[in-house]
Amino acid sequence: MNKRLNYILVDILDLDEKELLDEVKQNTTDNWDSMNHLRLITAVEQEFDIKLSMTEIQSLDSVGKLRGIVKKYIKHNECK
Amino acid sequence: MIVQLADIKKRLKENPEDEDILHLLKDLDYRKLKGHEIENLYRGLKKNDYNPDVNIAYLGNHTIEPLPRYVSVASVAQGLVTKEYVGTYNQHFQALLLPESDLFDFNPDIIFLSLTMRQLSPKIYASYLSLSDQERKEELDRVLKQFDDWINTAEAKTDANLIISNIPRPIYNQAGLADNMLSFGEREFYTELNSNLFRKYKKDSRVDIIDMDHVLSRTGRTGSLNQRMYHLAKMIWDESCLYEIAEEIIRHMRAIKGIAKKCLVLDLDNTLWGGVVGEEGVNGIKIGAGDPAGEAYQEFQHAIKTLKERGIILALCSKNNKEDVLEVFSRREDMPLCLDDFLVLEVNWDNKHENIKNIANKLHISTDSMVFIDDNPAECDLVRKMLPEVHTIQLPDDPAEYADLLRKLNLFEKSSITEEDRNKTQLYKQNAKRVKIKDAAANLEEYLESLGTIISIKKADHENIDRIHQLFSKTNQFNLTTIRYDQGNIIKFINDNSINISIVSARDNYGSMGIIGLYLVKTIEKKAVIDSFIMSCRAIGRGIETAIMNKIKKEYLIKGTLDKLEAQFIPTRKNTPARNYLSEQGFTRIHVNNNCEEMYCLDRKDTNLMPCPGINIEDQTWKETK
Repeated sequence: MNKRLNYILVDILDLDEKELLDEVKQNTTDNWDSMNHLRLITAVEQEFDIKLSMTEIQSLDSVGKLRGIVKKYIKHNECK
Repeated sequence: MIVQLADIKKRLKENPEDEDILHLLKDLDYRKLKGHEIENLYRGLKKNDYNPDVNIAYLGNHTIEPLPRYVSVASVAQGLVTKEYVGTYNQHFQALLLPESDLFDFNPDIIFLSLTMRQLSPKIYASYLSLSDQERKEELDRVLKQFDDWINTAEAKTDANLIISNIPRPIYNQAGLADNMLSFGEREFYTELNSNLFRKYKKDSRVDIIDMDHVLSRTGRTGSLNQRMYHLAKMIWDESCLYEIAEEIIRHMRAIKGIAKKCLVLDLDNTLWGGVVGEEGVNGIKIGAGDPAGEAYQEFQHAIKTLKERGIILALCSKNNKEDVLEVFSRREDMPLCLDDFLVLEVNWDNKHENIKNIANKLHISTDSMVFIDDNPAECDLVRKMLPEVHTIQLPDDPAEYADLLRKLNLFEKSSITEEDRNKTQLYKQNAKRVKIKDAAANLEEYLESLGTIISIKKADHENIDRIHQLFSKTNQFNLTTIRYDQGNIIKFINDNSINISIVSARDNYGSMGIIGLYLVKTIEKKAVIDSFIMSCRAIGRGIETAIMNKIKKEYLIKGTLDKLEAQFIPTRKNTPARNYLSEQGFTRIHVNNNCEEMYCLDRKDTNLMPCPGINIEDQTWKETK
């Protein structure tokens, strides 16, 4: 999962894979503007076949939180 | 050959100046790219300052991003470089009206406008049922007026072509089923609005309306309109439909820029019919009703015939015995296509790329304006290798997919179908007859006399805009300056009294040739300058070009009061047929600049009319005979 997520993050945020630490935050990353935020969400939703709620989308502000939410949904899907 | 995206990305990162990247992108299956890959490629491409073919501005009352990125990447993959300007959210009027607007510095060739009903009329969007019929009709008029005002302003303030999205209908009616029973229902409201837009701008060659419901239906409307993204970011489209919208915009772009392909070259066995005629025989091949495959081939032939009616030239290129093929066309009655639909038949056992070159020579067109369709991968590969400029399409395994594959192609798009398009095959056939007579004639003069050519020259008017645009955008050979004016420019020329834009029609004993040429002369103080002089290649070589120049000389130097006539020859890869034209007409070359552009001049005192036997000029009042 992390590899697939990183591929998307690298594409959109223009960071190196090594820089993609959980602490990377939206407000300190140049390319993480509001438009790219949505791009990120759409890409993640497509890749993992999940759907985030509007509240989740608004609350996501770091790579760590994104990983957490994706993990939660994947687990949820597996249980079904 | 499938290019790896990773390779392109790496090269963009390492050396964005690399022009090869543009070529690599042409082999990329861009429709498979995901949103984040589009974003990354787009950013990579923008680091380089490629020379744009099209400047396109996007304006709207909702967030238009990321559509422009899809258009940009998809058009580069089709060999067209775009530069984009994305207007601020809901500032589509301001972008045109504020004097400091940076839209004017951008100088768009095309402006795309998309408006959503949510903003245009929240009442209609959210509370249709609370309105009276009177109020609904007032809202309809008000919304239409907004479109009109914007279009009028854009036409006045810019030279751009306008591509306007109409308004998709909501997926569910507010009144539910009962909408059908309302005296002015919601469905009726949108239908009325959209058909009004179409009707109003049908004749305006600068305005193209996109039927957005039609475009979105290609991927499915329910998935196309994304509520969540509207609430979050005022985006109305879902990512999944952006390729379709981008593709539609590119269709318009191609039509506006006049870069349509001219000729479709087709294989026969397993392309126009199922099976191999040499093996299965005339009655064994599958074509026509009664057999599923036969019906699919029949549908494909219908789609091809439609292209012919749109002015695309058809040619055959097949490895077969010619007798077999002729027999199929004469004996199989269920074939929509007949031999007469094809202008050139290369049915032999030679290599296909050689045959394609022969077809190009016979039609006087260049190979880069041709599309080749074949079912055989080896043939396709060889043509791709030997003639990369030909757009080669390998058919899929299932003939059921053939017809839609052709209908989906955007390579043949034109903004309109002119009289000349409809009769194109006919026009070429008349020409072939002329060539036959020429070969039989004792000398050139006798031949020209026997044609009985009559030409008519008149000032262009608004009715001729489509044909003029075609001549400007598609004529390569007999074109002195090859300046590609678009519809906006042409309208200006027609309305400007200091500019003479005239069109030439011709007919002879073999039929009418339609509008075959034009010239554009600007008067600047005491001299006249020929800005453009264009003749369709099927009309050259019989003295018509001399007769036209005689007319220009008479108008400006002999009867007129000007001192001199100036003209220019700008050499291109394709316009050698026009190279000596000006000196043959008595002009003197006065200057050649560093780009090999030649300036010519003709003084009033040196002006002589040149002989052009067999050409009669009719009065300007002559109406084209149909």
